[in-house]
Amino acid sequence: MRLVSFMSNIVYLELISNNEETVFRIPLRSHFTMITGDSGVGKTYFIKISGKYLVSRDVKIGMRSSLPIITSISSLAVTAYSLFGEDYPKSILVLDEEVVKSYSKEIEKCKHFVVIISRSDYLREYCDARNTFTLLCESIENVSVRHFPTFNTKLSGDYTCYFTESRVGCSEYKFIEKVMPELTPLVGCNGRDNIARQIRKVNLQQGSRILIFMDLSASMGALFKIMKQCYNLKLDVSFVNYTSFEALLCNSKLVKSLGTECTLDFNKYKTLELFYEAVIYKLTKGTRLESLHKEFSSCFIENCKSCCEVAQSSSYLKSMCSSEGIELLKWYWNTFHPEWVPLTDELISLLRKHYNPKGFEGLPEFEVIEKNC
Amino acid sequence: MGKGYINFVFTPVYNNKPSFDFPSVIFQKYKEPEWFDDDLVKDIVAGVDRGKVLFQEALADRFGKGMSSEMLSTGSKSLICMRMLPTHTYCLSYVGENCIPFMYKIAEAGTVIDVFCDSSPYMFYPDPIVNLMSCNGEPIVSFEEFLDMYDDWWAGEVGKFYE
Repeated sequence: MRLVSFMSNIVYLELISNNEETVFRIPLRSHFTMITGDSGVGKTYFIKISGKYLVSRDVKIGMRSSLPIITSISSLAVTAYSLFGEDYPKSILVLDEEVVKSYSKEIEKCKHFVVIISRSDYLREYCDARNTFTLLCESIENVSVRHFPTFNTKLSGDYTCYFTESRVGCSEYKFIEKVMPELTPLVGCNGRDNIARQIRKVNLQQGSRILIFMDLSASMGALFKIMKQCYNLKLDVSFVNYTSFEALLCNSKLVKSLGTECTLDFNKYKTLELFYEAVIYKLTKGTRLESLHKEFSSCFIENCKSCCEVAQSSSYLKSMCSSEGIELLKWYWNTFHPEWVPLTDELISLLRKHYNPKGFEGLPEFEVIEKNC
Repeated sequence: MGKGYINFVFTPVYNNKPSFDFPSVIFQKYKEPEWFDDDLVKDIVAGVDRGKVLFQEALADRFGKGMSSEMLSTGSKSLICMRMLPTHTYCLSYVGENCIPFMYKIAEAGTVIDVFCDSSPYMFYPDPIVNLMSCNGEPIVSFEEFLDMYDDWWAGEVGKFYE
């Protein structure tokens, strides 16, 4: 199954220091990865020097990966390389915003991994909030990379208010309402770009704790606004750490039990969110679980024991016991149902091994290995 | 609202003013050595790039070594052009949050800066100076009201993305 092989053979972009040690290791988990940050911190400068000095004997700061790397701050270089031709090998393009603007259509459709240096909201729409970085390069001796922005995905206790990017009555809203009815009040925001506005509209006291459900795989722009809004209102905000609602369904025990496969290439999609929307449809088409983006099968939220060959009795386990949903399930189970057997790490490892092992194969951790430069 | 202000617009070409799409190219085309005699430009070079204007386009970088004006950051180039070339519409995405204080200074000095919201104006939190802001030429009553207008417009732009 292509989906699994893509996930298990993840490509990394390594930034190397002067003594050729790896300083930072950035996973390229989707078509686009963004490097952003303040003006004058050396983002463009890094592209300039890494390409220029990598071949020098004296100074070796630069980037390396299992794929060829093309760095460019010049539109001319992009055309000179014929990067978007069919014959050009799959590569990593590290591009400045001006180049991206010049070739936006080609870049959107190209087969390469694209690392963009930009602050544009148009480009943030492509980017996974967990895979966005800020780069500081004052000189060849002083380079650092950090996740940006840092946000809280560690869930604990009850929250004052819950927000979902879903419209009231649509799939994700319906799922939360039915499977986790204790999560109230639940605000359906009709799009993740509306979440910041809804947070303004709901009258929350300073210090209130809020939890947000949104597809992190295409939400860098929305996340930035939410963080700013919450900072301004002095709210304590946390996010459910999942790629997308469809990715949660794709990795569920129910879908894995179907045994269906699909061979979609994630690079054909603008974002991982859109990729998973296509995958869930392909995997469930013609079955009782058939699900589209806006309308998903009620099998995911109904308790059932023997209605079909993939029936599972617990709507919690069958939908959420996977790499995508386990942290959410663990928090919900232990917080709202202390009367149940506690969902401990030991129990999770048993479930992982015996209940839905395939649901834990897909998504490796987002990690950035950092060493002192 | 004073004589100068930041005018947020929802189109890259506002009042037929050409869009400032490619800062390094536009800066290179229009810059004049005399621009760097301006005190506010000197402040921008010092505040954003931690450099120093020695004489006109002769600059020193943060380490005291010589540097060309071409080596300034995109944010600095955008700010300098906002100050010296108010005949263009500027993209907000080319300036980082550390440039905002300088945008206010440019506006306070009497310039109307037309800014296309291709990056979120939420970046003006936590201290937006509303009396130095307008939206499509109209004064802003409250920053939150302006953000509502921006969110409405952006929802349409996002819709196009997913078409």
